[in-house]
Amino acid sequence: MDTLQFLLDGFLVALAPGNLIWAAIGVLVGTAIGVLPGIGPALTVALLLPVTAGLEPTAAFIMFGGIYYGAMYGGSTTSILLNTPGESGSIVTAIDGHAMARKGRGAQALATAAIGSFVAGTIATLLLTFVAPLMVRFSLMFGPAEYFALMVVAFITVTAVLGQSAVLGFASLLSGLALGLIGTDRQTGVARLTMNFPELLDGVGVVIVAVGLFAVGETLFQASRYRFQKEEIYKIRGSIWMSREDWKRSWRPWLRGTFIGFPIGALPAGGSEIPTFLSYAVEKRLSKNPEEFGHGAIEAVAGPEAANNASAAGVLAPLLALGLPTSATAAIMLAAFQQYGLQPGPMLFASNPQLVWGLIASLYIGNLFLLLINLPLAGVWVKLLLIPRPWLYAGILIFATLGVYSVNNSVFDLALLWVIGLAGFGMRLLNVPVAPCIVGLILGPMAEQHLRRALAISQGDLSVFYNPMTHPIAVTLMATALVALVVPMALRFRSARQA
Amino acid sequence: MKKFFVAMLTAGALAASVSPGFAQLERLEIIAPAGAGGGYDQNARITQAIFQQYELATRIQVENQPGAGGTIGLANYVNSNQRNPSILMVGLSLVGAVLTNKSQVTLDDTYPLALLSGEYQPIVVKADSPFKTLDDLVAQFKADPGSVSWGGSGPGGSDHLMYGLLAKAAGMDPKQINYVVLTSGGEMLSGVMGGHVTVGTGGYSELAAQIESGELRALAIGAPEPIEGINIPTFIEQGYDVQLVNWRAVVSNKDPRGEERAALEAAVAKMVTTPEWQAALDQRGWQNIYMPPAEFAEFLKSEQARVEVLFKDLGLL
Amino acid sequence: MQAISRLRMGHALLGALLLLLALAITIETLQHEPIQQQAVLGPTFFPLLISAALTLNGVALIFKALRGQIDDNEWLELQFLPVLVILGGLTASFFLLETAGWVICSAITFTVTASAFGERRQGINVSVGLIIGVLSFYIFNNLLGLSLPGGWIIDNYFSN
Repeated sequence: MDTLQFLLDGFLVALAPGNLIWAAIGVLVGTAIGVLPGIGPALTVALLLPVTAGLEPTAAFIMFGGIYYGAMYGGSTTSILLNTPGESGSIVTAIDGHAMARKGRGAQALATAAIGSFVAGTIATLLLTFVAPLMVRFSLMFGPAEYFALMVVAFITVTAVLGQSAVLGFASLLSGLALGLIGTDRQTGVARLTMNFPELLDGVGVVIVAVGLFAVGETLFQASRYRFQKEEIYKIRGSIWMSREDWKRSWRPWLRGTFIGFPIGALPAGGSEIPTFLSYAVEKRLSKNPEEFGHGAIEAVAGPEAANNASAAGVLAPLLALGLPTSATAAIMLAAFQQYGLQPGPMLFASNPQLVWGLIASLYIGNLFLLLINLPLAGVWVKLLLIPRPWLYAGILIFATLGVYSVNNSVFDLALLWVIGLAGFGMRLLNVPVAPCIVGLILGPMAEQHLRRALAISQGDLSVFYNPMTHPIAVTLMATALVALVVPMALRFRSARQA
Repeated sequence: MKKFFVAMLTAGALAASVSPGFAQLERLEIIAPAGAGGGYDQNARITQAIFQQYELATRIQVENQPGAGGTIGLANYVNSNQRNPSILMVGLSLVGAVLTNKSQVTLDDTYPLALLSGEYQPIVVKADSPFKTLDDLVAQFKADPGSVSWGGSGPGGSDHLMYGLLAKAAGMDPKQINYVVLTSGGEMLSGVMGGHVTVGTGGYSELAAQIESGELRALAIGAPEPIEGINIPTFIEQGYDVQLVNWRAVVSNKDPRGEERAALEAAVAKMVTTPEWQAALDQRGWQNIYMPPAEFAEFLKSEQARVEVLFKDLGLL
Repeated sequence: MQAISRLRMGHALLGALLLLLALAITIETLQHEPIQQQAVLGPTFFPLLISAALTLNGVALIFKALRGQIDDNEWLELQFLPVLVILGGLTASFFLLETAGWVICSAITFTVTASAFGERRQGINVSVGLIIGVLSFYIFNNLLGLSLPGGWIIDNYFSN
C-alpha cells in the first residue's frame, strides 16, 4: 500500500507545528477575504497566491489549502447571513440558509454548513486517495450526450423549487431560460438578444441575477413592508448550537451531498451548480416535511453545502491524475504548481508523490482548521444580523454593489443589477419563486450547448440518447430522469384515486 | 507621507536610471482586456513585473477589463481620455473578436507598439485513434467531412482559424468543418482523450504533458519551421501550407502624447532583451517573436487581412 | 375581496409580460440571417422553443389568474415610496460611480437606503456609509490590488 504510506508521510509533514500555524493563518485570511462579495474561492486564491510565493513549497501548499477552504466557507457565510451568494456554488444555500437566519437560526445554518463541509472534505479526501484514477477513467466517458442527459436529470430539480403554484414556478423558470439566451451563441458566434449592447455579448452573469433577485429584490420588498412589520426578524431565539434534532436531520444530507458532489465534481464539465441543485432536490424528495423547504429546512443547507465542498475536492481528481484543470480554481492550482517548476499531468503522481500527497494532506488539514476556527465563530457572525435593519439593509446593498461591480469593473452590470432587483421585487409581490429563474439561467445554456454538440458529433443521430450499446451512461441517466419524473406523478395519481 | 514615499521612489529611479526616456512613465496602466489568469493577463503581469524590476516605469497597475472577446476593453481604451500613460494587451483572438462582434473600434484605432509573444498550436488525436498521420486524417475528412469532429474554443478563435487553414490547404471547403466548441482547456483535453471529438488543438504547453505521456498523439504543429525541443512535424513539412501563431502584442494611444510613445517603445524594447522575459516565456512554452513598431504594424495588417478572408471562408461573416 | 383581485390582476399582467417576451424573442430570432456553418441545431432552435413555452405558460397564467385558480394568498399591505427612494439612490450612485468614486457612492447608497427604512439620523448614516466606503476601498485597492474607481477626490488629493 504505497498510496497509504505516501498519504501518511504527507500528513506527517503537514502536521509539523510551523505548518499548522500557516494552516490557521490561511483559514482566517481565506475566510475574511472570501466573505467579501464578488470574490469567490478562485479569485481569493489567485489574489493570495503571490503571498505564498515566499514560503517553502510544503508551507505554501498548506496555507493554500487553508485559504481555499476558508474562501469557500466565506462564500456560504454571505449566502446564509446576507442572502448575497458570491458564487454560483452557494446559490442554493441562500434559499433555505437565509430563511433560517431570518428565523434566528443563522448560527445553526452556519454550523451545519461548516460541519457538512468538513464531513464532505474528509470523505472526499479518502475517495481521492483510493479511487481517483478509476474515477477519472469513468469521467472521460462523459461526452456531450452524457452531459446533456445529466442536464435533463438536473432539470428535475426544478420541481423541488417550483413553489406552491406550478404555473408561477414555470414563469420564473422560463424567464431564467430566456435570460440565458442572451449573448453570443458559443457554437456559431451569432449574437442573440443583445439589443446591441456589447456588454451583453458574454451573457448575463449568474452572480448578478442571483444577487439582484435575492439581495436587492429582498431589500426593496422589506423596505415596502417595513412600516407594517415591526418585530425583529433576525432575533436569535434559544441556543446558537445545533440541537440533537438538527444533527439528526443533517447527517444523512451531508453524506448524500458528498456522494452526489464528488463524482460530478470529477467530471470535466461537471461544475458545482448541478451537484448543489441535485442535492437540494434529493433532500426535498426524501424529507418527511418537504413543505419546510424554502422556509428554512436545515437539510437544504446541509446537503448542498456538503455537495459543493465535495465537488470542489472532486475537481482535484482529474487535475492530479491527468493534469486537466476543470474549474477556475483548478486552473489556479496549476499556476501554484508551476510556481515551483512542476508540470502537473499524468506523470506527477509518479514523479513527485511527496508533493501530491502533501497537497492532499494539506487540503485536509485546511478543512479541519476551518471547522476548528469557524465553528466557534458562527455565534459571532450571526450577531451581525442584530444591526438595526435600516443599516443592515443599507450595508447589504453596498455589499451587493461591490460584489457585482468588482466582477467586471462595469457600471453596465450595476444598471443590470438595478433592473433585475426591481424584477425580483415584483416577483416577491406576486409570490413568484426566484430560485427556478436562477436554475433556468444556469442549466439552460449548458443544456443547449451539450445537446447541440452531441448532435453535431453524431451528425443528427438521436440514438446517442437512447441506444444503450453505444452510450450506456447517457441512457442510464435519461432513464433516471424519467423515473424521477414519472414515479412521483404515478404515486400522486394512485393516492388521489384511493382517496 | 505618500508624497515622501513617491519622492523616494523617484529619487531611487533617477539614481539608477538607465536612460532619461524612462522617467516619464509614471503611474503606467497596463490594461488586459480579459479576466485574471488568461494569456492577456499573464502578458500584462509579466510586463508589470519586469518594468518594475528594471525601473522602466513607476507605480504600474494592471487593470482587467474582460468582456466580448476583448472588444470591450479595446473600446474603453480607445474612447477614454487617460491621464496617465497606458498600454493595452492585444492578440490574434482580438482581431477575430472585432469581426465577430462587429466592433466599431478596431486595432486600427491604436498605435502598434510591439509584437511580444506567440504560441504554436499542435493538432492532436487520441492515442488509439486510427489516424496515425496528418494524411490519414485529411483523407477521412475528404471522404466524409461530417465524420471528423474538430474541437476548439470559440468560433473564430485561433483553433477554428487553424482548422480553416488546413481545410483550405487540403483543397476542401472550410464550411464543411464539423466544428464543436469546447469552452475550456479541460473540456478540450477530456473531449479528445475520451474520444468524443476526433481532433483537438490548443497551446503547446496545455497539451505537452499529455503528448509526452502518450495519451495524445500530435499530428502536426502550426509553426513555420521545426522548433527546437518540440518533436512534432510542421504542417509545411507534411505538404500542407498551414502556419499560424497565436500571437500577443501591446498597443498604445494613436496620439503620441509628447515623449510618451518613445519612452514606451524604449521600455518594451528593453524588456524583451531581459533574461527574466525569456524565462517567463519559457516557463509557459511561448516563443519570443518580438517585432518593433513598424514591422509589427505590417504584420498586423497582414494578419487582419488573412483573418477576414478566413472568416468569410468559415462562414462566420 | 378587493385585495385578492389585485393579486389576480398582477398575475394576469405577468402572463401578458411573458407573452410580450415570447413575441420579442421570436421577432429577434427570425431576424437572424441563416448561418453558413455546419450545424444540426442552429442558434435559433432554442430561442424558438423557449418562446413557444413562454407563450403557453403566459396564456395559462392569464386564464388561471382571471379564474382565481393560482393561489389564495392575500395582497400584502405595501408602501411604494421607500422602494422608489432606494432605487433613486442606487441610480444616482451608479451614475456617479466613475466620476465621484466608490467612497462617495457607497455613502449615498447607504444614507438613502437607511433613510428609506426610516432611520433619520443622517449624520450617523452618512458617517457609517463613508466608513464602509473607505474601508472597502482600502481593502480592494491597496490590499488586494483590485481597482474600484477612486473618483476625483481620491485621484486628485490622496493618491501620490
